[in-house]
Amino acid sequence: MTETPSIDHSSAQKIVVEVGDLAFTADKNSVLSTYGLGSCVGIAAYCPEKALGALLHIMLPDSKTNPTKAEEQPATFADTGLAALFQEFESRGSTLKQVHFFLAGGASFMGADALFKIGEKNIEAVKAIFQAQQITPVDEQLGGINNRTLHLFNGMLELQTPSTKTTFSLK
Amino acid sequence: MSTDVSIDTLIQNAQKLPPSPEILPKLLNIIQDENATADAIADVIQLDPVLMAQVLTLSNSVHYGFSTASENIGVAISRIGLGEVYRLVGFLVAKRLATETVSAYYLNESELWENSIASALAMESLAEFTEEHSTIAYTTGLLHAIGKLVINQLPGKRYEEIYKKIDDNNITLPEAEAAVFGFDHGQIGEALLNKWNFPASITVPIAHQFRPLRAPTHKNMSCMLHLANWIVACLGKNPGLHSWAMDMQTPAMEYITLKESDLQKILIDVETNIRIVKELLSANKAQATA
Repeated sequence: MTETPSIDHSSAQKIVVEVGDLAFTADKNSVLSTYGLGSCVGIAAYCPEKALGALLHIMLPDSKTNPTKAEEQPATFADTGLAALFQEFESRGSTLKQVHFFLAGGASFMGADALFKIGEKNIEAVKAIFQAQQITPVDEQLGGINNRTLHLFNGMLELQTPSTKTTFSLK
Repeated sequence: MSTDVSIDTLIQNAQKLPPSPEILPKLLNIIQDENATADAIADVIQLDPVLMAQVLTLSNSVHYGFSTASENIGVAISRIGLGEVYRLVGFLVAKRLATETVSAYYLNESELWENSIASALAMESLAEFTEEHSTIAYTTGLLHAIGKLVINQLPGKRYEEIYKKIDDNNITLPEAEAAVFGFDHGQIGEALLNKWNFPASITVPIAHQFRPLRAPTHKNMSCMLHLANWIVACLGKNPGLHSWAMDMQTPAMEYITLKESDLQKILIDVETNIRIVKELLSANKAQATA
């Protein structure tokens, strides 16, 4: 997949996806946005056949660390969040093979023990689930020392860092 | 490197200092007194009529669930408590401090405010575990990044050198700040807060947030602030360029006897508390614009 020219979503209806949230839209006038992806991982997904987009913002790798929270807000964790994402696509008539996925986030402090590298653990967890499902994301921007923001608008994904803006097509 | 310049000179060289949050040390003094009265708190808040009106509006929001509105600060204190009124004052004062884009750190005005609030909430959660003074912890988190506002106002835009040093030398943001200015933003924040008469229980941890075990006093609170920086980052509330160019010292966690499972619990608690406060503050904004 190649980078594409920038998109204008300034007049679109904004659906903000907070930490630990998952949102879908098939509305051509809506943009799914998530801010402050640091160690969290954002999964942008788009099914061209159904013109259906989704954005998931996971915070932690494993729901076993807090089953109560996982029940209340499954999108907090990689395992329960991705299960909800996949299930929702299938219930809306998309097979996972039809869906194009993009991964972003997973920053970690540069000098920290493994204990504090939640970003790396989130990346590992998300990638293991994709591998188990035999899904290859079309692209990714993972790790590093900057927060990221994602806007998904009609299958086009805008990825911002504090100093850059790049657009990708998930169509 | 400019280590020959004193920290006071750096502060004097800043083109514009943030407005002094002088109400906070005054309120802290009263709250820490066991015989504190609601009237004494109300007297201080009433000196700032705009702030008083904003605190009243927030205390009357649906978040607190009262069917009738408080007409004055004394009633608000009796309903929601001294500590909660202090928290509301803190949220509002932090907003006054961060009203402009902080271009040195690639932050817009709301991002620094959100970072301050998230840090204050992280410190409150950590204080529950360590049994440190909750209000001191909250205030320390709220003001931990105030030194960034000074660096932002230094002439010559030398902050671009900070990012070059991080890229070239793979060092942390505070290390790069110290290499460029002689001091990191924690140390500059300490000097500014000393000037404004904040107690050492707040200024020492802010100065030592990146090297908490070197704090001469208030080591617990310094270690807590070190961890709070990481918690806030994990929740996406540490915006700005190269904001993850930080280190994290495991001994700081061990010093305050936190376990990995505690950290994950605190992360989730703070995320929930950020949502609650965000709703409270946005409901207030909606009320104000209705």
